[in-house]
Amino acid sequence: MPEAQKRLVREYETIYLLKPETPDDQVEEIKERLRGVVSREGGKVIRFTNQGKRKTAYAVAKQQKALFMHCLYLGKPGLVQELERNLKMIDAVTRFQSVRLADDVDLEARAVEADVKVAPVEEERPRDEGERTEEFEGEGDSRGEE
Amino acid sequence: MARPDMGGGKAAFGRGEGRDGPRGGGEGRGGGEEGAGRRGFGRRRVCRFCADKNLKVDYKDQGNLKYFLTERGKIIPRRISGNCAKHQREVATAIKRARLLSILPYTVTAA
Repeated sequence: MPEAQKRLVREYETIYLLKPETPDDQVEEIKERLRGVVSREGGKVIRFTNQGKRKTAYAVAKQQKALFMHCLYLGKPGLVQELERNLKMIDAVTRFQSVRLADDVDLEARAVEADVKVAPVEEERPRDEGERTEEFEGEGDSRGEE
Repeated sequence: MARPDMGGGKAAFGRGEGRDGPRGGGEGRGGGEEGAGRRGFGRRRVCRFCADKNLKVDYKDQGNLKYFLTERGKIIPRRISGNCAKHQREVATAIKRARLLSILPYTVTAA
């Protein structure tokens, strides 16, 4: 029975936000803790991506910046609950979201990749100036239209 | 502001917000005044995600999703963005996901 040997799991990704002042070693610590949770539950972490400190669209935990971490992993449905329960307990984590990417992935077929650290994407255009001028002339305009 | 052709609320929404939103920047408002007669954004009839099969809706992609938001942070309706129903649904879900992660704003206040 080949079906029994093949372990079909789901592919998930979780993005979690850390407080911007989190030191690097604590970021690593959280990473290892989550890796432990995933392997304990019979899953497999494919990779962690550190997306760096980015400006948030609104204040999160009274901070305008946050450290974005992305985690790609395989596992059974119960794993997500366990992972999110753990994330909830870590004080440095301000926010998290898990999304299912694919069903019926072969656990053995996917290789574990190295952790990546990407440079934070910053907006190049000078937003401040553009927004300010626009507010002045746009004030009556937007109110009238909405 | 006082445009003669500004009829119902629907039309005003389409012309004003829909066009200014994705363009952004300071000159968006100025440009809106002169081309008020055109449907502006409504010209593009094809869904960009159907036209380009490689293009995927991704809630992590801030730059691409911004295109479907007005300056105020509202989701641009289908009749203006030109998306097909399927992709508009995907875009809307992606925007809502991105909002939770503070990649995109829920709202942009003028003040």
